[in-house]
Amino acid sequence: MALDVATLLESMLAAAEGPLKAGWATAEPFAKTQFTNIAQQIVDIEAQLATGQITPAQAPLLLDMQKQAAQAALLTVEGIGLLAVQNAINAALAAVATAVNTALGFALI
Amino acid sequence: MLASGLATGCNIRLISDYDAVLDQDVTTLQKDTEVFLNQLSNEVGQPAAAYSTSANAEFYVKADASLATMATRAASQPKSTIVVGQVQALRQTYSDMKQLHQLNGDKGLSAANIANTRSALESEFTSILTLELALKASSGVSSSALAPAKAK
Repeated sequence: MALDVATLLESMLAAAEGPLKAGWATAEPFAKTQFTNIAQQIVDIEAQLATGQITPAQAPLLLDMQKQAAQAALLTVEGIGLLAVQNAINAALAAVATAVNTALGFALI
Repeated sequence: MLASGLATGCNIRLISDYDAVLDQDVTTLQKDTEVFLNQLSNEVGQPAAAYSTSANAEFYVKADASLATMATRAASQPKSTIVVGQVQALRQTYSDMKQLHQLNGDKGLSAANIANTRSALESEFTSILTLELALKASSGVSSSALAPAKAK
């Protein structure tokens, strides 16, 4: 049975939604792009094996590259999320720093 | 919990700061790799495309040295787990590309191999540079006018 991108993608997105639930709205477009690339790579591997363009020894290397690309993309999502949290806390502290430090008479914040 | 994020004065830090050197090194590697892949595309099936040629083997040696330097630099920064993970992933992709090239013997990388490799690498470079750009953009926030750390 020939593999197809849409079926592979549907399964992959459904499986990833749970672990990524907290940031799913942010992560979904990145995940969809990366999983589409992985699914497309799997379909390409099937076709290239069938026509002898690649050997079974080469197939895992091609898949590995797309897995690493997905890892890097989702790490960017995680990093931007952490940055947003970091900036929100620092902005909140900065907003009250003068008032708090003046009231206390020393630099607490 | 929160204390684990404190690193600079009263600012909280959850992720490493923008690193201009890493940004430049990644951009340079991307440019060199594009040149390499374009060259291989022009030589598909020819002896010059084989891994065993000195020019091709040398590319992998230089790329790995560059990636090793980036990994060490990233690891030396506080709160750099995410960036380190990205550099390690990129290094593994170059290792995969090298193995693929070696497995193809005298034929070198095929056009399909090159397209697949380019797709993965472009995605990884974009991911790393997108995060560095976000870190750069927020660098003014993390150094906001908060009081310096008090002596303990």
